[in-house]
Amino acid sequence: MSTLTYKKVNEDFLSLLRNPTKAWYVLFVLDLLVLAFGAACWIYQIQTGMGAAGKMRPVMWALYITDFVFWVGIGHAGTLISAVLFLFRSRFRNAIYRTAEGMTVFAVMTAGLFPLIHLGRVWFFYWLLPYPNQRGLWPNFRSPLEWDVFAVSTYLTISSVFFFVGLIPDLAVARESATGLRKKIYTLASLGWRGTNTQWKHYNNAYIYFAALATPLVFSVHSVVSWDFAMSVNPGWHGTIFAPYFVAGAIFSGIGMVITLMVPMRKIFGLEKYLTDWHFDSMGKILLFTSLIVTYAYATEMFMAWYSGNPFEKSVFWDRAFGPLGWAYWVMVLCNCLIPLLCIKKTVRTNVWGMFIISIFVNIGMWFERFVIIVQSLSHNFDPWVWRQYHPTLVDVGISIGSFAWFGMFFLLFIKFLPAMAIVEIKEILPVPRKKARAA
Amino acid sequence: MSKKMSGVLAVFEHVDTTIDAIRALKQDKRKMTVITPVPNHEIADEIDDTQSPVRLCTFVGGLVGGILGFTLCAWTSLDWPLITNGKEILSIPPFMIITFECTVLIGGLTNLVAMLFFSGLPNLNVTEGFDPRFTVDRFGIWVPCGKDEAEGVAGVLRSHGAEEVRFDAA
Amino acid sequence: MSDEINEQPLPLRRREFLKLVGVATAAGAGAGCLEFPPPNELIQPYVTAPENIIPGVATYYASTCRECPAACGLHVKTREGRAIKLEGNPAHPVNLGSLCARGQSALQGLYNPDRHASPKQRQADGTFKEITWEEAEKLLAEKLAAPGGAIQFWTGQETGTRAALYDAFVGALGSAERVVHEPFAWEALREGNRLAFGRAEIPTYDFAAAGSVFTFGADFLETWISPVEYARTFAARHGGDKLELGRLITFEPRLSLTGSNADEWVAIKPGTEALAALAMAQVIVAEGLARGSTGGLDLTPYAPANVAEQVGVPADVLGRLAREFAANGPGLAIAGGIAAQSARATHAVVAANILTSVGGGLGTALHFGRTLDLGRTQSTRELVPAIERMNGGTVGVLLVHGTNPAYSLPGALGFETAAKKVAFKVSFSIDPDETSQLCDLILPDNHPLESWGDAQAWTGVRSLLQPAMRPVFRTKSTPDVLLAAAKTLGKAQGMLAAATWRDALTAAWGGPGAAWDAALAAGGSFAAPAPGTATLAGGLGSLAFTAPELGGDAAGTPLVVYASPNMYDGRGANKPWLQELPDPVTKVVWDHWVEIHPDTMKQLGLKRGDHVALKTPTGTLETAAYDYIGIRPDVFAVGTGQGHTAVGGRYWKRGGNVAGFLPATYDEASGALAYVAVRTSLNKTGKKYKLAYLGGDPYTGGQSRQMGRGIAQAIPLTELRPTEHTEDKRESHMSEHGDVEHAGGHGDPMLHLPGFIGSPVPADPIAHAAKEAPNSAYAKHAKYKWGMVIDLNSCNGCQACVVACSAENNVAFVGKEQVDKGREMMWLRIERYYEEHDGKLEVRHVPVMCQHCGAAPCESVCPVYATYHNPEGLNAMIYNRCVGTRYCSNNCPYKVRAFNWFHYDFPVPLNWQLNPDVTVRDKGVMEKCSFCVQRIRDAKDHAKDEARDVRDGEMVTACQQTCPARAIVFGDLKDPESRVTKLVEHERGYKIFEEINTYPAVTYLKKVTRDVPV
Repeated sequence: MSTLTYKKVNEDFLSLLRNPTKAWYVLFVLDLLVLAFGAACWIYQIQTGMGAAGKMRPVMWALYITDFVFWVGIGHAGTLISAVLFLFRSRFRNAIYRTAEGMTVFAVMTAGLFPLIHLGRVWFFYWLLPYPNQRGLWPNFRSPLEWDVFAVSTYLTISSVFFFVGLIPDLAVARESATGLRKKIYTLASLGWRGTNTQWKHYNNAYIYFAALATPLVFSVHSVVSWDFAMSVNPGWHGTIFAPYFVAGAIFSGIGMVITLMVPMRKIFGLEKYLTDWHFDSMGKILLFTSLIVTYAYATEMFMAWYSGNPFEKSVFWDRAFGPLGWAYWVMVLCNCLIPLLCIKKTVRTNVWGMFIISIFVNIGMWFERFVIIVQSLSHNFDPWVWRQYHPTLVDVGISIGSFAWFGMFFLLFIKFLPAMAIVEIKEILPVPRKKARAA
Repeated sequence: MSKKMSGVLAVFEHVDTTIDAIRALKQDKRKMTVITPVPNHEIADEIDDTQSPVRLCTFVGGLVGGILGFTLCAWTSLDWPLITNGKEILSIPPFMIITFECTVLIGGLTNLVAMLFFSGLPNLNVTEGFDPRFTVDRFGIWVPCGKDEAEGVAGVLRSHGAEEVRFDAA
Repeated sequence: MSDEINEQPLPLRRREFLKLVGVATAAGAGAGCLEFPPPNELIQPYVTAPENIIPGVATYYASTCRECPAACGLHVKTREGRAIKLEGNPAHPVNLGSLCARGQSALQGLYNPDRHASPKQRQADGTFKEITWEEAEKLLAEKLAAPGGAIQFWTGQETGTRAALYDAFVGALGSAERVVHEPFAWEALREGNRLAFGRAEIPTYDFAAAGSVFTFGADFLETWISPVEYARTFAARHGGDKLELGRLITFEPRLSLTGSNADEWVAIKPGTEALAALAMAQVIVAEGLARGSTGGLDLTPYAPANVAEQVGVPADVLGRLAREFAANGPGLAIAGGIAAQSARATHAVVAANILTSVGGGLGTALHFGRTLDLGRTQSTRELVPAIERMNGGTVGVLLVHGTNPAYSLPGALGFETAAKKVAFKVSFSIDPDETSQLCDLILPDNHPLESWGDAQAWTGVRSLLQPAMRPVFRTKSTPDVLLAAAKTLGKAQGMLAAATWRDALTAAWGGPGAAWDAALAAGGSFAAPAPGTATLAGGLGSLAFTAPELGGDAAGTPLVVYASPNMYDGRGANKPWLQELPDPVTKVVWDHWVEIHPDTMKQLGLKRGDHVALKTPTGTLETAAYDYIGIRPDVFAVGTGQGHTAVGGRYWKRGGNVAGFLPATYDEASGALAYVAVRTSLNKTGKKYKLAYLGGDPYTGGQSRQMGRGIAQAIPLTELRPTEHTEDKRESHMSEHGDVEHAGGHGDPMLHLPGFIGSPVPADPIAHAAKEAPNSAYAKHAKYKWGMVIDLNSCNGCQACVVACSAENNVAFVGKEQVDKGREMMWLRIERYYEEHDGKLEVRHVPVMCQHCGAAPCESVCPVYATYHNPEGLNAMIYNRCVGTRYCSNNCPYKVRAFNWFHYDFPVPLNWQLNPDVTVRDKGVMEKCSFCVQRIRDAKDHAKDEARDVRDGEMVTACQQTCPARAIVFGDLKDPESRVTKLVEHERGYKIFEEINTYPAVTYLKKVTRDVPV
């Protein structure tokens, strides 16, 4: 990046904030249409009852919880990149973390919808919040679902704040080049940031602690999500490996999503000189690493089911691989264990479009992982008398697809109205302008 | 910063020249504010080396959050004891999760508030001792002073290679 | 008054007794909701409270069940003038407080939205118009005054005063005849007894006194004669800890519910019951083991060797069973039932009686101390002349009451076409059934629960019916209509002179007075049964026993028609409870099906649910194929009772009508309709169709096998009472835990995996856990800890408990489509598992409801405390708190929680039946068995009124209350003396999925398998 100067960086990124093109509008409208369909499905479901979705005894959870876990997982890569890699002073982070963090916030916003969508009586959702009420009743803090309420809301708050704080100096940059209404908004949003030495001092200090808080948070959140399952008695769910297994899976899927989003961005906005092979190479390594952890987890589950001799476990895992939902299991194995192995070769990691395709498979695979864990385990529970197969309805599917549109809507707005790359932090890794070469 | 102060604003192109200027000003015991497009530790070290109090606030905030979280669980459970799954009324392990989440939540929010507070944000009056170029690639030094001293200060700054020096009246 | 109470034999609470006496004068003065459709009801206080109504307190009326001829005694529970539940009358000798599923469902007959809501007259255009009773009765009188031909009065089987009144009426009319048609009237049974004992009656079958019971098609646990009574006496003999007595062997081509409770099932060819029975009698006689005469019949031609071929059972099997029968006397052999009603049905009965005789059962297990009088019923063959007269056009007026010949007679008899030739047809039917649709005038009778009347069950057992509430619709008691008609015709003499039907009835019972009141309170007058005898008449030698010739295409498959346990002769079909109640063996709901052996299915290229057409020379029956493991591969079987075609059939127009397509063949001796009479061809119709059933199967991923999970456990008698036949441990383990051994060691029980996949570590199925659930200390101040014990050795899977539960707890019915999706709401289900070892099929029924776990997985996962453990050990479910996360159900190992996927409707006036003590749940909340917490509340209140604790046995759950087999015991586990506390420690006791450490409050007692004679 040595050819780059501070000035060039500013110009490059501020250019992204120019008014949207026709293509952008078309995309946005299409997105809203899909979203509207999802919303209609939800309204219909609220009116008629949960029966509108394909759930039944024993599969009382299905696509909605699958989507919930999927989206929460997506979120994790953002925090990992922005917080964990920050603490590790990993330089390749600076170019990608803004997008990743935006993705985190929007993914968690999407995930947060599903616990509501799947409630039988969503109009009473606030009963899950601890507030003094005339019933004199407080939530049950022993319930993993209550842990979710705290974990996910904390996660949403902290990651949004983190996102916003990181934006402040860049908004100040945007402010100076903007005019009219935009200027007013950016002025407000940047809180009148000037970049004085005191501001930078407190800013940097605070930033470190955000990172320090977000890092354990990201691990806790997906552990809690995994305990929704691990804390139950169900064969196929009740496993101590779940927390690390889910966290790894979350980062895996998250990195996958980052790549999926970045490759087109890089192309469309011509960011080749900022998003270099080096970045994709690094992300490819993380992808490979987490993929191996996930693979190990799958293997361990199977091994324990066999080794423990617990007949229920054995039965459920046999059914998982060779039962009616076996196909989903093998899709998962293909996408999460085999295809990512390609990242072993550097040539693959540095082939941007290759990584793009792999990342798509990873997204699919990780969605199926959650689907298999949830639906298959439930459909093959303790009592054979109630075993049944789940068949999704239009409502299940519509709402799930709608969630992608919901995420897409925020992301489209983000790339057009906020600096999609951390201008200041990219400058940070450029050589500072000096008059005379520095005396060693 | 309600009422505007008067002072001299210098614009530098290079970090090292800026630092020279800072050194010089420090010798004649000038108060100054340095404005930079990116955080720069050389300048930071030069101008003051005190630690930011933000981290302390964050620590306290986290502590308070944790205590609040656990108290919430414990008190509400005892307030109306309902046995579920044969677990203790005070089931410590599950409560630890809430405790942890509250630690992070309150800690994080205090961190934000503290940062804003100490760096005097929000302050929408950005015109004082500021130049748009500082968000691009220029380094600035803002020395608050009266009209009478302006000449002297400006001289020092120019002599250290400021590419532009101007006096902002109140 | 108090003296009276002490004299009362009724185990009733004082309050209730007073109510019952009060009834005598109150005549069920119901209050409120007396019109239909109901007006916009305002919520108003009882300013002047109606007599006998204390708001919030139930009033009980003693009455009699009319859902089948058995005539069980009822207690009708009413609240604020509405009947809300039917329970057996504890004082009634037939059912002693129990009631079957059909009996309890009478309520949905009473409140059925499809009922005739008022008198109707057919218009020129063929439609019906509602008219007033004045017009209607005027019209009736006119027509009866000038019938323009003979008058035929078709009625169902009636006993007691009503029958007398009908006869008096018919007699008074002149040129009139009374035709009695009851689809299942046991004509062959009575004829067979006439031949064998010289008495055309139904004797006392005392299962409790029988050593061995061999049944030849008689499904005495479902529909045969008096199922509730037999279920009780059979359980008393074969269930619980009655282990010394011998076995039940069933001889039938298709395994019925009764068969599924047998210790051995002998799948004989249809119609060969007589030969099988005689073959065994022959062995007994030949080996000199006979304890009674053979009625002068030479048995040698029926030696097993000679008949084995026809019967389709190896001779040595017959020999073995014969010796066992003789060894474990007194033996009782019973034959009959619809599934055995062939052209040789009477002979089957005679043969069975001979077997009983040589088995030494006469006078003990079978005697005439108390006989069942079914009134003057006619056999189907005897109906033919009556139908001929209609065809001849000599009949001017046709009156029909309480029978539905247009549906229940073979189409070949042409009742419908004949009836059309009658100028004026009057129906007194309650429901818009097929027959009433043919009629010109409909004068709907009151439902039995709204009517006065009496019925004769056994000799000496006279039961009374009294109205439990005012009529729901604008209906009128038929006897009153007839009395009025008689008056207008000037024929009001004798019995017809009575002012009202109630007066006539009272008069027949000796007029008003203390005796009458006492009878009303008790539900009738019950004489103690006299000890009786039975001796085989001679001269049976003249009888020749052969297998019947089956009609139809010789290449076809014999068709067995059996009486549906839920639908009975078709009168159950309009009741949603019975439609949604799974068939006890196939577990199919809301539908009709033909049972085919899985191997035959394969050969025919069928799979479950395929839509098929059965063809006989006399008709076609379209229905769905069901692969049933409990049937001979060379036989098809269909149940009766579905396939109604009448208009307005909201719940009951499903499947095909079996009676309709049968040929008009009869049992030669008795003239009973032969239900097992024809061979049929079977072809796919190609129509797309789906069967809805519980328990799943390979297609839905569910299983009818327990996969070695020890849900329905059993223990061989030889292990409880070791004898020389003690089997090796592994064998016993198999029967105990299901298919294969429980632990993972060799091969996999769950999946039958190859051995090498078996685990190196054997599983430890039962965790070494404390007896008490953790942290139960918090409950130490509670007075009670409720628990339940279910004896699988008594439970026969009849599912009466399921209906009782639905009625008591306002459980919604959801319809076929939702059940198919797995969304049935029932709080209590009977899981039916197949076990196969040594090629023998064993069926196990296990009632599963909420186990009220001491450490319930469902509780801790609920974020809003909608379910928690209450101090009395109940797993409480608070509907109002529920937000519907459904986590509790996911985490319930027993999957007994039902979720309200929609808002479920109780179409008016079915909603009148709802129990005011129980919340009606709306969409989005979870629900489940509450151990009838409202009944617990009630019991505790009564105890409190009398300043004492709840006595053991005072608190009974709905399921326990109605269980004919007395398989369920409920009580306080803190009371060291209570029955539950004792039974929990029983040697047969176990808990389902104990290894998960849920500490269930429900203990099951293992079924006892008797693979070998005692």
